[in-house]
Amino acid sequence: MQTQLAKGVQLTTVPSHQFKTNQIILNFRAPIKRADITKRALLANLLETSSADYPDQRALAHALAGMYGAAFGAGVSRKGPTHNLQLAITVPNERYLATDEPLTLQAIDFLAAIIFKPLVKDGHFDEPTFKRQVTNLKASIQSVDDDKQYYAAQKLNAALFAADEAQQIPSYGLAADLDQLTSSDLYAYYQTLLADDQINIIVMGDFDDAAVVARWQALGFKDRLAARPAAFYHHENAGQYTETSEIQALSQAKLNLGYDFPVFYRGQHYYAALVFNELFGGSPLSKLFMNVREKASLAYYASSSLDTFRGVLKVSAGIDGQNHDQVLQIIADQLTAIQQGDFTDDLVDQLKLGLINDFESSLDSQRTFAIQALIDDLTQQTVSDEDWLEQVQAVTREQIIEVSELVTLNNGFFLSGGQHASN
Amino acid sequence: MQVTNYDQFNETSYQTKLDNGLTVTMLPKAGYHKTYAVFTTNYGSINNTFVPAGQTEMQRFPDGIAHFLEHKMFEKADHDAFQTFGKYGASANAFTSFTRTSYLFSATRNLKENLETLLDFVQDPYFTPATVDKEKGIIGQEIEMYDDDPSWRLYFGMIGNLYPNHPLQYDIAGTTDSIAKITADDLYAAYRTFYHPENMTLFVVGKLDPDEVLSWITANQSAKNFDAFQPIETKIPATATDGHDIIPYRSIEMPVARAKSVVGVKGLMPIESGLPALKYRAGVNVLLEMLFGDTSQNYLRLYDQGIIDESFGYDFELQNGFDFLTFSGETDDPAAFDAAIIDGLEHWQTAVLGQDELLATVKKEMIGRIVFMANSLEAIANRYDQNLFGQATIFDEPAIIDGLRLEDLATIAEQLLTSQAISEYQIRPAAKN
Repeated sequence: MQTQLAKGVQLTTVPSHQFKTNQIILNFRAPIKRADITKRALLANLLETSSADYPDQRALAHALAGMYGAAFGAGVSRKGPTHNLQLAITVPNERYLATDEPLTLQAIDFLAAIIFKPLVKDGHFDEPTFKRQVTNLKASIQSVDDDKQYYAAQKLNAALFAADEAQQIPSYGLAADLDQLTSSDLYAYYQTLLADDQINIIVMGDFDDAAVVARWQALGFKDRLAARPAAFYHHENAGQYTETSEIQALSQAKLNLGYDFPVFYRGQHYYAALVFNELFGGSPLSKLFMNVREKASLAYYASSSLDTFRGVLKVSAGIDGQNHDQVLQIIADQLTAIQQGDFTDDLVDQLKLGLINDFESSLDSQRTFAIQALIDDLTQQTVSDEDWLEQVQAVTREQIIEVSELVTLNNGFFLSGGQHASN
Repeated sequence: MQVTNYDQFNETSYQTKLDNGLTVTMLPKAGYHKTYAVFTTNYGSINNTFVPAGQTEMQRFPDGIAHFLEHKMFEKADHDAFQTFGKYGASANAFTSFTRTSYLFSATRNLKENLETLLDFVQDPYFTPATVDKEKGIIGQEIEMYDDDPSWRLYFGMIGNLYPNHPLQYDIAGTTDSIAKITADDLYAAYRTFYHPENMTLFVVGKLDPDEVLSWITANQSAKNFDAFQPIETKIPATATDGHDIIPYRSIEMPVARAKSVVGVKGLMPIESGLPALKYRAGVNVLLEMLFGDTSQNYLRLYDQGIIDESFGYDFELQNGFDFLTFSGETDDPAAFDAAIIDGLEHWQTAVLGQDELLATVKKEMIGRIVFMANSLEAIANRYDQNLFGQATIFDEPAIIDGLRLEDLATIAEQLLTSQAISEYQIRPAAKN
C-alpha cells in the first residue's frame, strides 16, 4: 500500500507472512553533489551511533538488544545521479517470541528518535561524538585501500568518470574532506537534508497496516519543495581505450576494465542486456568464466557486471601479472565471439533460467522488497514479477548480438606486484 | 521418518537415515520460492593423515587435499557439474572448512533434477593426471589471493600461534608447494575414505514436499552400490591441555594502512558433542556479548578511549575436536589493543558476576537473532552439524539460551579464560616503498 506522508515523502507498506521479522527502511535521497558526499557519509555514522535519547553506543545497543536484538544500521550508496542515505531497522516478529511487546511500532519510534532527536548542543553535533566519528570514518576510508579487489574497482570507477568528480569519488566520501568539516557545518547540512531530501519509507512484513501508517503520519513530515532527482546518469563514451597502472607489493594482480554501454534500467535493450551480461561474464556459464578461468587457467576470478543507472559495463579479473596481455586479448575475444553470434541457443536458454532463478530467489530475501520499492520510486514505474519473467523469456539471440554491439571498451586499470615470478 | 515440530516457530523438520547410511534432513518453508540443498562430508583440511579405505597403514597426504578434491569433484569426463546445474537453472557452489566439505545448490525450479545432479556429481569421482595438473593453476591463484588479504593472514597467524603442532595451522587450500604434490591417486584415496554415505549428510530446506523429496532421494541412492562402511581412522595430534605449546606472541609486516591485531584464546578442554556442545556454544556466545559486545561496559570504555572502533569484532569457532576465540581489530597501537582485551578477559568477573539485568538483555538479543536466522535457508542449513550437534536445528537453540544462568557462564569463563591459553598476533604497516 502507498501512502504519501507529505510531498516527496512516500510510505510503502508491503504485507507478507513469509518472514519471521519485520523490516523498516528509510531513504534520504538527493542529487549527488561533490561537496555533500563526505558529509552524508559522516552523518550516517553519527546517526548510527548516537542520539539525544541514546547518547552513547552502549545506550543505543541496550535499546536494540531490548527489542530482541533489533538490527539497526545506517549507510550510504550511489544510484546513478542520486546519493542515498539509508537507515534500516529489522525486528523479530513478536509472535515468535515469549512477549506481547509491539516491536514494530517500537522500531518506528526508535527510528523517529534517531532522525528527529540527534545528539546536538547549541546548534552543533556533540563535539566528542563528532570527533570520534570523524576519526573512525577517516580510518575506515583509509583501510578500504587494503582490499585490493575493491581498490582496483574504485580506481577504474575514477577513470571511467574522469570528467565528473561527483561520480568519481566513492559514495562514502574522501578522508581529506573530513579535515575541513565542523560539527556546526554538519548540523546545518543535516537541517537542509531533513527539509529537502526526498524520503522513501518501506515497511515489510506481518503487521497491522493501519497502525503502522498512523504511526508514520503522526511524525508530521513536511512537504519537499525541491524537484524529484533524475533517475539516470549518462556516461560519456571516450571511444578509445586508455589504461592506467599501478605497482604495489602484492602477489595477485588485478585487471579491471570499464566499457561504455548505454543501456538503462527497464529502458530499450534492458532485458537483452541482462542476458548478454550473463553470457559475457555474469555467470559460471559465461564466456569469461569458461575461457579465462576454466580453459586457459589464467585467473582465479573473471566476471562482468552492469551499472544500468550510469550506462557502463565492468569486467574484473584476478590474474598472474605476467599474463596481462594474454588476458586482455582473451577478454576482447569473448566479446567479439558474442558479436559474431558464437553461442548456442541452448546456452541462452540456460542463462535465462539462471536469471530467473536469481530473480525468484531474491523474493526470499526481505531486503529485495525495499530495494525494489526504492528503485520503483526513483524511476516512477513498476514491473510485475510476471512481466519481468516474460520479458526475459522473450529475449532472442539477435537481440543479444544487437546489444553486444553497443559495448565500447573505454578504460582499464591494472594493479600489479611489478616483477612477478610465477611457478 | 522422524518428525519434529517446533510450535513456537511454526516449523517442522523431517529426518531419516537411508539404508546406505546417509542422513537426510528436510525442512519445508512456507511461502519460499527457493530450495537450498547442502550435501556434506565430515572431511576437512585437518584430516591430512588417515588410513586410506581398503588399506591398513596410516598415510600423510599433502596439505590442501580436501579443498583440492572439492574443486575437482565438479569436473567429469565429458561435462562439468556447473553446466548441469546451469541447464536446470540452479546456482551451485562448494566450500571446505577445517572439518567439513559441503556441496550445495539453490534453485527455484527443477528441484528433482537438481537434487539428482547434486547426489550424482558428488558420488561419481573422476580424476586424471591432466585435469589434476590443470587445477593447480587455479588453486594457486586462489592461494595467492588469500596471501594478499591481511584479515586472512591475521586469522591464520593466530591459529598458528594457538595450534603450532596441529594441522589447523595450515591454510585450508594448502600452499603452492603442497598442492603441487597432489596426484589423481591421492584424490581417489581421500574420496573412497571420506565420501561414504555413512560419513555424509544431506540437508534440504525451502520450497519442498518432504515425502516427494525423500522418495526422489531414496530412489537415487538405492540405485547405487557402496562398499560396506569401514570406520575411518585419522590421526590428529593432541594439543597440550596446559597450553604450554601455544606461541604467546608473533608479528609480521604487510603493506596495510593501519596495524591489525588479534588476541586469541584456545579452548584447552575437550567439548562433548551433542547437547553439551550446543549449550557450550550458546554459553560462550552470551559470555562474549557480556564481556565485549556493544552492550558491555568494556566496549564503550575502549571505544571512547579510541582503542577499538567499528573494525573491532570477535568470533568463537567451535568444531569437532577444537574451539578457540579471536578478538581482532584495526588499531593505531596494537600493544594497547592487546593489553585492553587481555585485561578484560582476565577480569571477566567484573562483567559477569551479579549482572542479572545485562544477562536478561543479552539473552533477549541472542534469542531474537535466532528468529532472524529462521528467515535464511542458508543459515538454517549451514548451522546444522550432525557430527558436532547431533540432530539439533537452529529452532532448538532459543530454549537453550533461555536456560542459561550466570553460574553457567562463570563455569565456562573459569575454564576457558585462563592466562596460559591466551596469545597475540599483530600485522604492522610495512614502510612505504
